[in-house]
Amino acid sequence: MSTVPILKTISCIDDDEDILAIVDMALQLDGDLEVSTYQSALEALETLPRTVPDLILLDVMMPEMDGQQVLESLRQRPTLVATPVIFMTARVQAQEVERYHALGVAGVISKPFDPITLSGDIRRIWSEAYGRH
Amino acid sequence: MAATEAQSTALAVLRRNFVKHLQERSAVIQEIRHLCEVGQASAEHYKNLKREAHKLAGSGGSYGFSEIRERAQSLEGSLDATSTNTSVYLPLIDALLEACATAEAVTGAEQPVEQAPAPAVPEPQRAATGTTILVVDDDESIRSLVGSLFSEQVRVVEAPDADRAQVLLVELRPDVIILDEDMPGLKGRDLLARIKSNTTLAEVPVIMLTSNQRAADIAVFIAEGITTYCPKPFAPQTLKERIESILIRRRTTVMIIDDDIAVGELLRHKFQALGFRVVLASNGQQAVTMAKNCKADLYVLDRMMPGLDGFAVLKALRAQPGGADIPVLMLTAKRRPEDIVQGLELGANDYVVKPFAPDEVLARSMRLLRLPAFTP
Repeated sequence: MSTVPILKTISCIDDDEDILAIVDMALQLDGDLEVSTYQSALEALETLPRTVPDLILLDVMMPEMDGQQVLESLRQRPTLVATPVIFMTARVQAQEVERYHALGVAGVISKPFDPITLSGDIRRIWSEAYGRH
Repeated sequence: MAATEAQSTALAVLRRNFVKHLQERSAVIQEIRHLCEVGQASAEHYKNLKREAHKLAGSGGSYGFSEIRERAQSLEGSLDATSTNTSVYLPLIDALLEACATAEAVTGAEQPVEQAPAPAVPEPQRAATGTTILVVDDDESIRSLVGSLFSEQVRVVEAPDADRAQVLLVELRPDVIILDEDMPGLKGRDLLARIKSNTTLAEVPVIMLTSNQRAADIAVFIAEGITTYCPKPFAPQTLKERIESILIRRRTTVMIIDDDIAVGELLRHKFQALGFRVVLASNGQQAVTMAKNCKADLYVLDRMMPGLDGFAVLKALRAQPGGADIPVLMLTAKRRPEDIVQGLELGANDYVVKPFAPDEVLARSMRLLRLPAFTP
């Protein structure tokens, strides 16, 4: 039986500052989570290999690089190869979700999301991700 | 439950910020709409319009604006289709813009969270005039004992059971409630739950009288919202001291100044649980304005804030009449000696480094207020 490690630090990458604000609030009120937010994928790619968060929340539709490109770039950083990534997207048709899972994301959270349940949903995906190993 | 209250307060503040950004986004959409109307919209414009709609569906929905979400989704769906007929888009764009305008009007009408505490803050009084204590106990000797502990300046209202207490509480706003745990009929804990779920009464400190000495049970009472307890049998002086320490806190106002909503709410909850009156400011300018109208007894002040930062606020507070004497506890993200020295030179009385243990903030605050250390 694999033990689920404790989830502490989450980084959220989304070009929409309103989404970053509400994710920040929702996760901080969980009480045990530390949140860092990035409006620019490029800035995140520079910083995250050093800070190595436990989990990354990633918006799929962004102007500079889309979620898939960011994911590929993250996986090329040795320190981030195993970091679970959760996609956030407004497109949640079954085939899209399957495609994302095939890319190796730990889970998908649909937008709009309920800020009250967000940390619970993330924790559930986290537990499932480690349960699978 | 405190978390839900904190969440809705934080959400209300974020909604207003969202609406401010909405104005900018509406302007962008308006421009593209105009170009669509005069037939000058390029493929790039349609792409931007679709992107705006997509974003608004996601963020609008997450912020609870379902009308914005629906209309943004309609517009996005229509743009996905291959039609370039403006008679199809223009009404959908208009509908979305209308939803945005409605959102602005609605949040404008919502009670701004930072103003909500202000009217309720009384002038802190050091004299015990106008104090009301409600004692709820089926034991007549306990009720009259509480009445005998205080002078005529303190009004003690008695209730022999929870039902009578509830009737009284419709009109009465006591400064503290003494509540017996073990009563026939509705139990003390049930009345406690009702008090805590009532928005006007939730703030009133409750002292539980209980013969239960088990730490685990006491911990449960505290989790359920009592401010402190008094074990039965008790020496009258013990109860009197507990009541008095709470009454002093009721007359003490703490202003918490932090742009981080989660921190503000956490500290507000902690101070209120002890019986203090709390006022929250989420930015420096607001804090300085509020400080003019509301005399706080203590400021808990964040060092790093956008706009007017902690040091600027500290200077302004010290410059106000009487401001030199009010203790200030600064919260700082970094333990930088130069920050701490500068803060002390500007007049901060004490420092806590973030991330902080809330109990440390409370303990240092009690010391600055010259109050005995708290024990629930």
